[in-house]
Amino acid sequence: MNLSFWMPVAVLATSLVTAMIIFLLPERRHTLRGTLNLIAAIVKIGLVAFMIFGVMQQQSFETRFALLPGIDFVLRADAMSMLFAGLSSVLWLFTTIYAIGYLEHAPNRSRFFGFFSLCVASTMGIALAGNLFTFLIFFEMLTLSTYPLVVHRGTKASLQAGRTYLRYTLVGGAVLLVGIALLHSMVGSLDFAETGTLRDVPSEQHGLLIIIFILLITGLGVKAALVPLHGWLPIAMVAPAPVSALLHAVAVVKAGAFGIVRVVYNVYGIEFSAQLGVLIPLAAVAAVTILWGSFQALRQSGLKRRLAYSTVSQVSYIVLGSALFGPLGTIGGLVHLLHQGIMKVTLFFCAGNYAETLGIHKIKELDGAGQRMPLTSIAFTIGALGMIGLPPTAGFISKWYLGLGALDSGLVWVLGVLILSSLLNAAYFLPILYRLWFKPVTSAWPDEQIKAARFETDPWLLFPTVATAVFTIGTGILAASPLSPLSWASLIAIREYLP
Amino acid sequence: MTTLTLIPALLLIPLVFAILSLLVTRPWRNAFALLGIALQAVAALSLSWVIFTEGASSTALGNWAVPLGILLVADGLTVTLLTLTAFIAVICALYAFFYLRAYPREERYFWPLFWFLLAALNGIWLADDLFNLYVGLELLGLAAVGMVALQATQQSLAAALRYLLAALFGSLMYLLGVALLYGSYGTLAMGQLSDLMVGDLTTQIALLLMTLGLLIKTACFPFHYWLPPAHGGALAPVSALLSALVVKSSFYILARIWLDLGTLAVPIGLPEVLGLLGTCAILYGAWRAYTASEIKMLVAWSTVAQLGYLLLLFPLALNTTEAAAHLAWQGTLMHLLAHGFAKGAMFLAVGTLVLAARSTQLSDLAGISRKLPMALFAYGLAAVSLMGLPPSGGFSAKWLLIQSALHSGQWVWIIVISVGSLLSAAYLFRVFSVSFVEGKQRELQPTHPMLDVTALTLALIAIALGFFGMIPLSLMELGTPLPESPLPTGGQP
Amino acid sequence: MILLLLLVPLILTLLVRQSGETFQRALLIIAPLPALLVSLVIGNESLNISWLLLGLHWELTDLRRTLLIMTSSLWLIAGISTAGSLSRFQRRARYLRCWLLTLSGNTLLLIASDIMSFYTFFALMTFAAYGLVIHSGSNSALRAGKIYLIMALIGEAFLLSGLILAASLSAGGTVTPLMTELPLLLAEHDALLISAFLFLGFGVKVGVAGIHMWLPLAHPAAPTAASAVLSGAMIKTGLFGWLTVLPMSAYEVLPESAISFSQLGTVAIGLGLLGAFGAGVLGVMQTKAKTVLAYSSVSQMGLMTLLLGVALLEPNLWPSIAAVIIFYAVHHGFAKGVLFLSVGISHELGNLSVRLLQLLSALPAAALIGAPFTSGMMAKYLLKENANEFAGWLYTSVTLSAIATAALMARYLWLLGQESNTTQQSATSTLAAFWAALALALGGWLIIPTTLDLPWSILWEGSSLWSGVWPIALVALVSVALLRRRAGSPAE
Repeated sequence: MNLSFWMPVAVLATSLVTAMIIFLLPERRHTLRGTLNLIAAIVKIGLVAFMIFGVMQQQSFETRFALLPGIDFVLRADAMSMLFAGLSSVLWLFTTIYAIGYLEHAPNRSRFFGFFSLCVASTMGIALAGNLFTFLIFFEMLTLSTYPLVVHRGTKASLQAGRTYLRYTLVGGAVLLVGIALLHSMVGSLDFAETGTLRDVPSEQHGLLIIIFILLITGLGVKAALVPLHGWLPIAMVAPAPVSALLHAVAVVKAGAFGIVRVVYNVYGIEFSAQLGVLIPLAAVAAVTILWGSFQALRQSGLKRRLAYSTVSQVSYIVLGSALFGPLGTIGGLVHLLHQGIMKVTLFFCAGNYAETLGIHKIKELDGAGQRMPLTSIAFTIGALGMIGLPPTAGFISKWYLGLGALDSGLVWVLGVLILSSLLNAAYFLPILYRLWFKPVTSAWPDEQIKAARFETDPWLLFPTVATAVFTIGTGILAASPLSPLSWASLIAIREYLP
Repeated sequence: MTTLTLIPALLLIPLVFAILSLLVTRPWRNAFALLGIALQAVAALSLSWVIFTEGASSTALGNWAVPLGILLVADGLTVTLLTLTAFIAVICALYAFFYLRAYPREERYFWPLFWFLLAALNGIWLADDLFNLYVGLELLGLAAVGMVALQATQQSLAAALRYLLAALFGSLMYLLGVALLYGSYGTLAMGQLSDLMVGDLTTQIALLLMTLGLLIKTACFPFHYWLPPAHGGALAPVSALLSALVVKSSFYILARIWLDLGTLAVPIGLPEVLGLLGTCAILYGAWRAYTASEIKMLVAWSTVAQLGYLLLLFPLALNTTEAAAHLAWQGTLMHLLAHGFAKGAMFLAVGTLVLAARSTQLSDLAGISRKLPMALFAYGLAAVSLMGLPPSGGFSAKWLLIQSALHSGQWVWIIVISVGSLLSAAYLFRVFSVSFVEGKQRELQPTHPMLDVTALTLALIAIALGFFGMIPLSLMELGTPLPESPLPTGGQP
Repeated sequence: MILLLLLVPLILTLLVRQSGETFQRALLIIAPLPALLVSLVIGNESLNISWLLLGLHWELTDLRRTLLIMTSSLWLIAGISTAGSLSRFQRRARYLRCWLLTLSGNTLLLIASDIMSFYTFFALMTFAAYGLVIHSGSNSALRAGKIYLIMALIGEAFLLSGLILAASLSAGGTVTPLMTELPLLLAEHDALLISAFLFLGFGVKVGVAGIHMWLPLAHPAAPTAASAVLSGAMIKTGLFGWLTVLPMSAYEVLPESAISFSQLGTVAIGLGLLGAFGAGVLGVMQTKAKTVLAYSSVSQMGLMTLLLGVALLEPNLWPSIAAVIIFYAVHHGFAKGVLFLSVGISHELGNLSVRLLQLLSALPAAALIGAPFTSGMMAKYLLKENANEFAGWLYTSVTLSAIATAALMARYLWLLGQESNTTQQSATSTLAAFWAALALALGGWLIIPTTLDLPWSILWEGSSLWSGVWPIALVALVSVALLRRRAGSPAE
């Protein structure tokens, strides 16, 4: 019971306690609620930064107590968890700022922000979970805390979306539970460990391990939106923009992908996974998802729906990276975990800005919006170029390493998938950029709500958008610097392979 | 020494207050009720503490030795259940305080019945012979029926009558079994019986009769018909008590009979039949809950479904490995506790919603999340546990049951458990779906904040069980006659 | 660190505003100056910043300097030309931003040596130039832009695959190799396929026959000054890419590896010939002067492709061919620049004489054909020398290609007269830019520093003089005959 024990708890508590207080606050205390949220977000960033610093110094932070006979509840800060925790805490701050601006004058803010914080608490739990059981706890908690956000608008469509969301995620959770239970009955509850934990399982049980692997990946794959388990994601687009941003960049989808990363690296171990022969099928699933998502995105006419399918495609880059045997692929997958988050959050912020400011929801309504909202449009452009994978954005770094990783592991066809996906990304993003910058302004916007004054839109909306866009470029330009996501991912990647 | 006074006290306090509350007038009745609740809580908790620190203990009422006298046994399991009862009863009573302000006529009879109910429950947990258990069951049944009939509307009287018939019939069957056993063995004390018992035909018939009777009382599928109208129609605190505690008591007896006494006399296939009945309950209850149009009926049918999980104990614990049996027992107890807290919380929360909306129709709750967030939050937390989602007692229970099924290689129960929790999600989320609807809203009646606080407390306990499950699990190991734990805990690094 | 000055135009992009025409003019002229000054003033220099990108590495070498001087001076001239007519531009700010971004990409990629910054600037140039291509907003420009973009993306895809594949050859694992290390890697691993990818990736930009179709559409669609830099400067980045990454430069160390790339070399020669002659045939059938010029670019680049093929096949020819390609690139850049600018002038002749303009334009046109005492004579001579070293028939082919060029130029000059329009008057700075470009086209090659020892003596050799004269004479005769016939049949 010392600092090491309490640090992970404190990180969780910053959003958990905030959520509780917000639930209790009366609806009209907007300023207090906003302040509280921001303070909590900043405190959390501080705590996470402290832990990252500690982890760099080989310090360990661990909360552990017995939950059930033979099962411990473990929160632990290792390099991998800090990767995700860092992303979540930073993006939480931006999304909170954005949400405060976005929901100005909207009803039910108390409920919204309460669950919003709860959602982040779950995400932090997922990041810090030290074994599969603890992971599952927060994984399910995430499902529940996002449901109220998805149905927040209370319209028929959003309620329907909520139902679909639950149908997918709860079934996924059940499958995951069965997988974890099976694994537990075989080897007990094992902590996540670098290079994996299952190497010593006798070979006659390998068949069962493969089945468990399939169960785990299926369960996690629902949230990670692996085709054909992705059906909920585009429908869940009815949620308010900050929720979509959170869902796509930090919380739900990312949690699934992070889970897959954990299973491959810290439960099975990449080398053992390769030995079992499960990596190539996983890569194939990821590849199918990447291409399918892109093809579907091409067909969408709504901006947010196009972005949603783009997420389906992009998140599987992470899965793909973890399915590539070799440090380069690992780096590519891990670094994309961060990069995709930053880029996608930017794009969703922009989509929200267009919708809130000008009432734009369809792609064809975007004509000339670049003149009316230059900063937002620049941010969107940066995000889109990142998605295509053009340098110097973050997306290029991911793609570069994934490509090298693919060749490193001898899967040349994966490179083809990456290139084709980039072309498809270009095919569905460039027309949007064309409309933004080169089409003449239409006579009237669909529903102009915020007039251009000193800023093109509400500064609460604009600031986070610009900030994440800067991050998108910054992580690319400073990729080789010691504190970049790339360096952090490289640090982890080296440790995941047996010497 | 302390146990000697504490154990009888747990029976005496409720009985005394039952009589007191019949005698005095309204302001005094409330004061007494508060006092009684406090005393009861203190007594239960102290006993738990004593058992926790000193180990199991028993006391013979009137100092007569078995088989003549009444032996009360307090071991870890008993204490766990006593604590559960104390918690839920205290919180329901507090809720009732504020809730019954809207029902002044019913308030008068509520308290005596409440105390009788409590006395009967404590009696059942503590009793160690089959006849005392019968007495407890009868008293419990009568008190429960009385509570269901409190509102004295045509509907509630019909429900009460149905309940009464079921309870009486169940008791009769049980009594028949008890008589048969007494005829064969000449004793009804559990401890002695378990040593004497052989697997002959008489014993088997006796056990089957008792089982049948107890299944009726537990409202197990297909004997569940009386439960939904009774639980769904009663006042909120009554529903909570009935669903959280009353049905559990008969199950507790059933489980003790088979696992304590009847391990040698289990007819082939009986555990599986019971498991099958449980499965049917899970599926049918869920289906009815999903189609229910009244919110209280939804919750009541959910009880039917959740009771089905309890029956899975038999296929998992009988004729399997020790490890599996142990896990099954732990899981079932965890489920019993978690369901008690969660369902109690849910009925209380739903009661508040109904009180505020003055309608039991689910569709009338549209958009209620804005007005009654706390009640809905309590409902939500309770739902988490009922769905078996982590972190909650319900999840821990599910996990233990699944582990047990894996240990004994009975895959089919894993599927049942998983599907069951998905189905429960399907019906429980209906309330949320409705509550988030935006649009025209009903005028709501203001409710006392204590109603929310009490419901939320119970719900939080159900969630906390997910984190602190080790406490009841280790408590109930003390002095239980159950298989010792050779649990393979897996390699902790 | 001085190389960082080249980032100035990128920063200037941020300063562009809708209003303030004077400031905008100033931006056009200031932007290329840092690159020009750096390339003229400082010696060989390199810049290493390990924490930027994937390890930033820029360098200025002799080869790069030559191209950088040509590129930046062409951008400067085009900028001056644009400054004059800026007031007539719709959506100036947008155009200016695209202009500055394209300029940044074009100049910076010439000093970039690490893969990421090279690819960054290459992509920046490619995509920003889209804004120049479609600026007029006409349907044809939009269509041209679309095809430009599609082809550019295909090119990028080949390029990126090639770069990733090549980088993966480096055994270092996490270390990403430099562009300049790629030739050795390719040669060591006999990586024919990867080389082919890189060949195609840059080939799109160069306008290699078969993947050239965007070029005659896009170059003419842009405003004239932009066409000048597109055809004059940007097209050369593809050549630069070839020279930098393809394995020829490793032949010195591994001469036997040339065998592995012989198929690629043969294909390059074939495509080069096809481009050189095919573009001539297609070009003379065009009805717009700028389109003819674009085809001429394809034709000229065909000669470069052919030369590349020779270098791929013949290890010992590489050192001289590298220098020749650079020299040729400079020569073509300057000549093509002024030819495009004069199209612009012809549209706004005002009180100038169209005959004078044709006459003045004939000079760089003649240079392109290889007329005596021009840069073209020297360039063609060097080209043919190397072709001759390889095979006699190739020498003949290159010689014959001068006819194609001459025909294209004749067609161009004629169309220049046809398109002339006197209703508008060119701005002074536009005219000044034209004169400056003309001067550069005629004399620039004499002063620009190259790695070659130019064989000055050939300027007075009869055979080389003759080979410069006869294609012009031949085409002139045919043209005159054609014009006569046309004049003689008034029914038309």
